[in-house]
Amino acid sequence: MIASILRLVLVRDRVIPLSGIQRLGALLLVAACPSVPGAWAEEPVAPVAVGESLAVYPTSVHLTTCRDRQSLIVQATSADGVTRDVTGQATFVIEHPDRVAVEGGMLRPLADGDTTLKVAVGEKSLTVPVHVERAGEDPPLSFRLDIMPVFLRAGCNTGSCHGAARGKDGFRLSLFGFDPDGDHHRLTREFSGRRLNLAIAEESLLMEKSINAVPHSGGGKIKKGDEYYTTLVRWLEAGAANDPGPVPAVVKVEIDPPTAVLDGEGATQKFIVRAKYADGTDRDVTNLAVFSSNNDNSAVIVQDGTMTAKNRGEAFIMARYDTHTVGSHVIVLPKGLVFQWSNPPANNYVDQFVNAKLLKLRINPSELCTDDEFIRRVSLDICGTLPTSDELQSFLASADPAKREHLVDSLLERKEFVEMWVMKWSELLMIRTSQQISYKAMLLYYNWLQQQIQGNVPIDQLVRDLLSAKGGTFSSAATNYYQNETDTLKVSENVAQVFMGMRIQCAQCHNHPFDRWTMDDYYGFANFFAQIGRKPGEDPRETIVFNSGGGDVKHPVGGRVIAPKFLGGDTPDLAGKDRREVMAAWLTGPDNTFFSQNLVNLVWAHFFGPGLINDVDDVRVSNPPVNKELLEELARRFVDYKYDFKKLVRDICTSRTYQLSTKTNESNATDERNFSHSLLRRVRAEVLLDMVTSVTDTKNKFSGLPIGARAVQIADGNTSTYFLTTFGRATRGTVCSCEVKMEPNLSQALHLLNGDTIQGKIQQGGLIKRLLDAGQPPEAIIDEIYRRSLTRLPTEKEKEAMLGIVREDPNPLLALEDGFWAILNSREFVFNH
Amino acid sequence: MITTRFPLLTAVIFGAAFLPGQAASADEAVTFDDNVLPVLRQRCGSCHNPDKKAGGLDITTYTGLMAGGGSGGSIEPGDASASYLYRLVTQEDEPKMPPDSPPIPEEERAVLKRWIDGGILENKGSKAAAPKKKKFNLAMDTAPTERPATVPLPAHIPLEPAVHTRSLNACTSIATSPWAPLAAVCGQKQVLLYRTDTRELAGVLPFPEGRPQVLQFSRNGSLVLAGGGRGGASGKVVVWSVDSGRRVMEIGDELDTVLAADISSDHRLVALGGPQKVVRIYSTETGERLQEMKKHTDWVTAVGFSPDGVLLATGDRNGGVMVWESGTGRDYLTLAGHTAAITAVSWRGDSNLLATGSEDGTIRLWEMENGGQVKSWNAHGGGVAALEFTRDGRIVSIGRDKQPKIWAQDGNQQKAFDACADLGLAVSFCDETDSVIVGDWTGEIRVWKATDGVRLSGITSNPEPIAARIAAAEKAVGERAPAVEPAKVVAAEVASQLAGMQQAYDGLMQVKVGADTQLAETQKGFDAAMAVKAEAAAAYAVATDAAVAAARDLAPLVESQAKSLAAVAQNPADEGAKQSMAQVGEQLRLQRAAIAAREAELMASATRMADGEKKFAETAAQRDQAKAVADQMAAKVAEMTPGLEALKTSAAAAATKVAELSTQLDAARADLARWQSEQAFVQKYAELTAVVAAREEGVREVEAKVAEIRAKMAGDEQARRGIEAQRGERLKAVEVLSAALAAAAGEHASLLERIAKRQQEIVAQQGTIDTITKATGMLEQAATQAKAALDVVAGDAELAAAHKLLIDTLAAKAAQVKGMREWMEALATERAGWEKQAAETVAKMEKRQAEMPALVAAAAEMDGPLVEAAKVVEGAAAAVAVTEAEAAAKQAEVEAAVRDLLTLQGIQVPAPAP
Repeated sequence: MIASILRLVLVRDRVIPLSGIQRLGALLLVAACPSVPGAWAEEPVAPVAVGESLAVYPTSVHLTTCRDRQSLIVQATSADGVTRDVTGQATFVIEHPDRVAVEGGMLRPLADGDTTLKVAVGEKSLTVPVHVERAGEDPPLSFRLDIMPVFLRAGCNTGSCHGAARGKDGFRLSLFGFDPDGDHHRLTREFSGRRLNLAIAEESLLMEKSINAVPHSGGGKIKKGDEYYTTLVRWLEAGAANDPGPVPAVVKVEIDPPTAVLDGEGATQKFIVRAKYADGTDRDVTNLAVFSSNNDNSAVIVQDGTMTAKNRGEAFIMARYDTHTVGSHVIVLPKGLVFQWSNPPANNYVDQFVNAKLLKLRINPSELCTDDEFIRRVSLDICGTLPTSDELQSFLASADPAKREHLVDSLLERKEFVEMWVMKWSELLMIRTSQQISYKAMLLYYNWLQQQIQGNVPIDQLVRDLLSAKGGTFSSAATNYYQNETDTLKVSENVAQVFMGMRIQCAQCHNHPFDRWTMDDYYGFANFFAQIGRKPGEDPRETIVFNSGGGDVKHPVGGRVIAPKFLGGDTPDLAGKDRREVMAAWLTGPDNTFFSQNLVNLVWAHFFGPGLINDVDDVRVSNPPVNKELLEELARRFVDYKYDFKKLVRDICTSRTYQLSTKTNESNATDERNFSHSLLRRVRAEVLLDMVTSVTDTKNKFSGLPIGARAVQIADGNTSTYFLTTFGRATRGTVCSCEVKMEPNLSQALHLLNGDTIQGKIQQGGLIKRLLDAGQPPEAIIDEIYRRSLTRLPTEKEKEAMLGIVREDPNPLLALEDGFWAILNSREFVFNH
Repeated sequence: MITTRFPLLTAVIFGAAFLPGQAASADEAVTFDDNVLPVLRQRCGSCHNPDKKAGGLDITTYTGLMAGGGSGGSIEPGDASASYLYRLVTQEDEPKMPPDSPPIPEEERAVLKRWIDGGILENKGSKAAAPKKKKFNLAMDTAPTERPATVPLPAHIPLEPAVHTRSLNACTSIATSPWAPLAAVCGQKQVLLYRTDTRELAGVLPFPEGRPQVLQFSRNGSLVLAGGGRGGASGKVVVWSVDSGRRVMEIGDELDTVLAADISSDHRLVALGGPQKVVRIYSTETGERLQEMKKHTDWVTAVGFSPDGVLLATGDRNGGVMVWESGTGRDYLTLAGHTAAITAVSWRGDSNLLATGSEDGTIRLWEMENGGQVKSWNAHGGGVAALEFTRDGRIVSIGRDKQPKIWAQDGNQQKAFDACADLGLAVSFCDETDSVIVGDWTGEIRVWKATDGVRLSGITSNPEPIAARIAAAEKAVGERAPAVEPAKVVAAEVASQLAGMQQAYDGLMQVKVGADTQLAETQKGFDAAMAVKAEAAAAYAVATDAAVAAARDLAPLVESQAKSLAAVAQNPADEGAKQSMAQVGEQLRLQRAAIAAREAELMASATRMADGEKKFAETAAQRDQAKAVADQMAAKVAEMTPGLEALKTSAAAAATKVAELSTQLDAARADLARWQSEQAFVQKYAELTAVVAAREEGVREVEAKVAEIRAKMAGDEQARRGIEAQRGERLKAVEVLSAALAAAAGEHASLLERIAKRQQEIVAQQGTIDTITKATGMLEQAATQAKAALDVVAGDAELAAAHKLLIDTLAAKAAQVKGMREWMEALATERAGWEKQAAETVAKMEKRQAEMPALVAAAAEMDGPLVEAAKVVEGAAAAVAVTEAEAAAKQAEVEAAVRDLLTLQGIQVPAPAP
């Protein structure tokens, strides 16, 4: 031992000269902590440097009962934010060694009382308070607290194994353990005498299968003699009892460290997970949690909680325990990256948050876009229209340094802005005719929505009115929301998906596998919609929606009634109240950040392509926002703005981040998620058709609308044209964000090339002929075409090429129309950039 | 709704409380109009009415009900339990009626049951409808299996458990012998045999293959079978002989544990099944698999041969029940009905009825002609876990409701026992002792006397090891022995105290008796004196009375005298008065005399009385004295008696205690002795078993040697055959050559013959030619003559014709001769060819003749080796014979060892055949 230490010190001596004190420290360290040097010998890492800060997780330790353990993580953070796992280099000294034992960073209780743990790395140190109680107690194993977690950790109850609806090879467990009583029954009493052997626990089929001692389709999930094995055996030997009563629920799960920035491939960071229970106790569940990474390309994690860095990128390290999933944010940087921060200016808070994130990632944002790019981009995004030649010319001509802000302001005042958002909300509210909704009802519904948005009714107000709507579907058109979908469970799913961006469908049949929602949460939430009464009105097309005041949704496990409970919130007192009103008030209330964050995310996604949480209706713990601080700030301000869209849009569109060029630099070329440059975005179907229509000076006729109406104004989701359908217009059949299809595809290209829309409209509009007739020279006409369609003037090369064709052609009209056609077929036209 | 027929009074009294269906009195027929319609209208009419007709059913009229609904007829006349309507209403079947509600009241269900069972009468005038299907007669035929002459019971099987565990595990199977008071229960890696009469362990049958999942006795009770193994890994069936506990066969090689198995009544077939979903039938003689049935869609959970061995019933985890021909493995019936896993099948003794139990909670009975469901009833809420037909055709069952029950085969519950501690899993009925044995999830085994429901104890699935029993017995002896002697000492002490006291008591008693005698004597005197005194007093009283009477009688006389004196004085002349006065005077005198006499008597009596008094006083004093003595003695005795009694009691108690302790000690000693002897037996048994095993190993070795030698012999034989074949080949070559020679000679001879014949033909031909030539000469002559004549008579047509004919004939003849000559030449050529051939044949023959000796010699060469090889084979055969004999001897040794073992176990062993 001593020899190896000396050798170690010698080796270190050669590599990094150790000061005498450090050498002494090393020896002392080894002497004080005999089981740690293994970690030392493997990876000699420099001690904490000057400027590095130290953190220990958890910050306080509670040990309850003699079985409790707590592992510790020590993390050093350098001035530039890079972190290192220095747990292996740390010395742990307990103030009262008779109360707590420490071994390899793991604390174990000895006697009741309080003490402190001194964690030292090099010359830096921290103290952690430690509290021990019931150290002499070894409570019996609990089925829910000790046994079910083993099934989760070992993967027994996953959907591909025994968690499948019909089980596997004759044995079923509930998916991720949503039904502990059922699991206990199936394990012990379904096929009594087969699965368990209480006399010789090790010979239970459960044990023999789990260690693969007998053939097991799933292979060995645990090992003979490991802690899971001994836990199960101990439980079996104690009679395989179910819990006699309720057990303390897990109220919170924490993963530590909360963040890590790792320097280069191969760097490692250990994570620990701690669960907090309703009775105030906590427990180190690192060995029971299921770890996963959402980006294996950058960070891989193995089930003991050790994460290893790989390629440059970001990852979210998740730990699942009980019904909770928690995550830690990890950034992996290339080893020894040389990076010069361009220190870009910030127009407003949006830029501050985005830049802060980019700095962490060592990415410089792109330059600002040009004025012509900006006016095109912002006009399309805010109003869904192209700027006219005049608008373009006056904007370019303006020397006002705040002209971009002014442009945004002016666009926000246009009616097209309202129409744009009426359309977006129509999609979310699924406004369309159906079996239940007559054309008249649909139109009234649409008009109601339009009036709300036109009148700048705050969105929280709008949603409250909508969700608590009562009355006839004609007289009180918002009630059509409850006609669209009459199934109670689907209504509640839709509400969660549209207004909170959450897909809770999974929890209808089992606890959500990737989020915190349990079946209880689901049915508790659904119960808010259980008392919607519907009766026919006088007009056969009309239905009257009212509060029936009775009825409950039943939980399928045991047929219980779960009292209405807000998602992630309280169980309100509903006596004498309309459940929907209470729910709507909570949903739009200040405590429910899901609502405001979801709305700002929807808006963000409209202006940037991907949302801060992407997809926008896939909010879940395991799909964290790319910039949590920004999302929270946006939401906070949106609430402050009293849910005024215009102010929010103004913040976004005047930010530098929105105005970045699509051209990338060396550092941000591969970034697609952190808004370091603008993304090319295909224009959505309605806007594209309106663009084609406006640049060709033509008109469209849609069912139910006057001639010349814009596609954005179509009220009924069922009204469509071949063009709109091809470019992926939402049918409004579901609330899914995937209804609007933005992916370019071949039939779109073919339709533009060969279909009748472009060619027909060029002919129909007769723009070129008019310009020629007006005596415009071809050069001017070409300029006009470019300004109209692409919001810029042609380059010399482009102009030359087109002029060449026009000059060669005896019929300049045809040649120019062909040119026009070519421009409208170009990718530049179809994309917002 | 009160019918008018019903008496008004009843209506008034019960009308309000009574439910709509008026229950007919017990003997009155239940009819649709009177009793059933009110019930149905009230309970079912809101949906099944002519307007709504839910499910196509209208129950408001008799015809509507008879027509049935969308799922067909709903009533089985005469059999309520088989009627769909009744089963829905009692909620035994889905969909439960009325929907989402508890069943209709018991009384109303009873009305429906009685109505259906009574033949669905429409009204009082209708006749009972005949049952639609032939009702299965539940009466049992005589069982095909008779009680065996000797009832097999374990002789002496070691009682040392193979495994003893700290805690119990679920008891999944229990079986009882059909003919003996014997039960088998499953343990850990062992099967345990218990006497059901004494509930003592009667044998441990080790099952190291794993956990036994199913136990069965064979029909005659001589074999016991266990199926089981290691879940997910291996499974097999093991059969033991009940009397000796020896393994007689091991069958099957499953990849998961065996969940169900049975042995046929003739002991020829064993059927088994398990999670592989396959039922396999094996021959017990060869161990070879005879049939494999792959029709079950889920784990096979129950298997049972019919008692006559003809059929095999199997059930699976999906609720499927199949009946097979056990001999051919062909499927015979599919019994569809159960809606959840089958847990048990059991045949009635006559093989005509099969009972199945299922997790759907029902027990169903099936007849074996068409596979019809005869009965079905909800037996155990949550699921039936096990059931068994008793010998007399009742059914015993257990299930998730934890309560063991006995049913008549019409589904009526006859008895229910106390609930087990947890889910009941296994049940068996011991016909010999009339007891029910039940095993539950906790592993506890309970026994009840079926007749009176008394709970008996003693059977456990986890018996103590002998060493532990010895230790316990030793501990008991050790604890009890020291108590006996002190108790004896105490008893002796108390006894001696008692003796002393008794003596004193006896002395006292003697005195007391004397005093008592004295008292009695004085009493006697006293009594006599008292009698005399009493007599005197009586006499005195009489005398006093007489004196008083006399004195009393004097007064009127005196008065009369005074009156008569006065009369005389008044009228002295009156003679009558004087006479009367005289008479009165006389009477008075007489009376005074009488008074005097009486007084004298009284005086005498008074004297006698005084004497008596005196005597009385004397004797009383005597007696009182004696009494005082006697009382004193009695007091003394009384004083002593409680002490004595107490001492007696404690002496008795001490004696009892001594007896008790001694008995206990004796029992403990007996126990100790028993288990020590058992241990010795087990040791001895193990030794002998080891001997058997060793000898069996020897047999195996020798058998291996035999096999080896046989293999060598086979090799030798093959070599010999090779040589023989070679020799044969060579001989054949000689033969072939000889044959060829002979053939050539024959050919040669035939050629010569042909040549000779041909020569004759040629000669004959020549003769013919000569003849024709001769004739031609004559014709030429004639022709010449004709020519000449023609020349003379030129133009004579006739002549010319004749001449022409002659010429033609000549030409023809010439041609013929030419032809014949050619032919003859051809013949000659052929003959020449033959001659050449003959010459060649001769040459060939000579050549072969020359080859011949070499071939013959070569063939002869093989004779020697052949003999050699034959010798080797013979030698090998001899060796085989020797080793086989050795093997036989070894086998005999094994048998001897087994005999020793059996003798040790106390089993009568027939003497080995000489």
